[in-house]
Amino acid sequence: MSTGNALRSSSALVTVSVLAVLVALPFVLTEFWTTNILVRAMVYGIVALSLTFLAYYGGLLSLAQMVVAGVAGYTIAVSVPGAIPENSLQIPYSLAIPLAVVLATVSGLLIGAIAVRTREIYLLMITLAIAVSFYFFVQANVEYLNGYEGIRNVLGPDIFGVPLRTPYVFYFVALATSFALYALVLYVSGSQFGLVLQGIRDNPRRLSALGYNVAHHRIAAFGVAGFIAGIGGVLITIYNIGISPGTVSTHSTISILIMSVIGGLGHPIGAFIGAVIFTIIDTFAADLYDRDRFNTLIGVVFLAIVVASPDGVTGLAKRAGDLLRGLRLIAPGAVAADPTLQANVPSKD
Amino acid sequence: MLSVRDLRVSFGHAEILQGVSLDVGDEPFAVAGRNGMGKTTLCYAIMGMVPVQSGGVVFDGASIEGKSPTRVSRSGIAIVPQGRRVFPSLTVDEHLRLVSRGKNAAWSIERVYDTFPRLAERKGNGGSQLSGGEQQMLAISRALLLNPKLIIMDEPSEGLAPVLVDHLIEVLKKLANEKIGLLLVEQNLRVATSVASNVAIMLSGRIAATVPASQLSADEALQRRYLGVSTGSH
Repeated sequence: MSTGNALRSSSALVTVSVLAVLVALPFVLTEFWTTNILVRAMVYGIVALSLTFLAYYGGLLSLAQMVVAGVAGYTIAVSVPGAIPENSLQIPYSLAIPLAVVLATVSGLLIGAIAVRTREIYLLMITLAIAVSFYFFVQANVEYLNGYEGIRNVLGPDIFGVPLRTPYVFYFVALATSFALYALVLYVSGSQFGLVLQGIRDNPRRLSALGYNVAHHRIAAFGVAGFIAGIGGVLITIYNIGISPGTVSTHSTISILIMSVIGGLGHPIGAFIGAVIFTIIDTFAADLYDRDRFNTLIGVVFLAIVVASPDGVTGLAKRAGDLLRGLRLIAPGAVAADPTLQANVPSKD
Repeated sequence: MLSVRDLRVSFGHAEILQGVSLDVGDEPFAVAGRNGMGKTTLCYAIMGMVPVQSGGVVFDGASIEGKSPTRVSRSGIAIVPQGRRVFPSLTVDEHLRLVSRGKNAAWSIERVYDTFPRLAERKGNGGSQLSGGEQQMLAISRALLLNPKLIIMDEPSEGLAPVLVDHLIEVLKKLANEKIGLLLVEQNLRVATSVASNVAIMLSGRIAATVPASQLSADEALQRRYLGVSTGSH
């Protein structure tokens, strides 16, 4: 259909121009903005992306995505050379990072296998329980994970002889990774696997009657989300030059959820938009408002966004876009006259 | 092809199926009956979507009662459920890609679009934006793409305008020539008798009688006795 093609090419145009702006940004912004805002937003945004993927395409709201990221983070922290306290493994980054991502994917699958029979509030409670247990586990494990203090001096690999943590280098690595994972989510959502997931979200009984194993597909979705969150966990650990129980605390878990929700769960880009907004507010609120009470300001801003648009910033943008398109293309009254434009009540089973 | 023997299903104290037996061969077979007689439960019981208390279901020589819907579907039975149950958030094209078995299967997406040109026109529309007739075509296509040996259709004519019911009858007759088995559950006697060669009449969870379609459509007394309706009144 011609309108579909026009829509696709215009959204491709938007994607290319946004990418161009993002590539140019570090040359315009100060290093503080590049590193402390944008890189931080991207590395945490990747974990939020994994949550959005599960929530939107699978209808599975999981609070255990920071656990998966933590598994990847702790894997590299306990295995690479240079980390303090010193470990006996001394595996180079080129092996430790793939290992971390594989273990994160496996733990994603495991969490999926545990949580697969539960839905909605019960899924939320089970994944929250997993998150809290993992936090206390890493805090209590002094022998390998160095307990409360965690593991420091995880500097990351060199990229073509340049340390990854060089500001520009880290920015572009984070950008390229974020974009690749974003593209992966879009690709998966359009594949047969992604369509089956969306079908399961709409009506699991129907999908099983069509010959699909609902449980296996849900577990696989947790695996894909684990892969994404694992890569996020590797970058978060290198960004923070180490990992401690604080990285996987309930506070971080909730932060990831907030990023996804204020960005909007209706589109994968929402995770990154939410992460940027969250990081900016989280960074500057203390300057704008009483140092002891800046959390109140953060809370009020989030409340305002969610009240104004329950489906987050992307939902707001979608509605504004529909409104504009409606003003331009459709004469008043056309919506009421054309039955195909009216949304029907979704059928349930 | 499909043989159901003394099938019993209960929900709590209510015995919905009280020993149903029927045989579906190569010819289309219909089950007629008024509301609440257990027709939909029969469909669900064959598909494994409700627990079966006792009795047997044999399909293609293998026993399938008590198997999960996933396994039953993979053994070659597809269901077109009552009320269509298309996915509100997927487009027509996405529905078809979801179940497609590739270009070389007997039923491919291209063949579906050739058979139902209306669906090709509505490719990009969401499931909830389709009319009842279009949703029915989509639900039938979704079943066909699984390349089943047998299709169970639960009240396909429900909620369709009379002109669309005629179209549906044409479509079902065409499918009957495709060597796909058809178990048609219908309240609309005109649909049941024009598509199927034999019609089983269901009464309070039992098969009261199985009669040739031609005999049922001619015998108004029989219709009134079991169904309380006649083709003339429809």
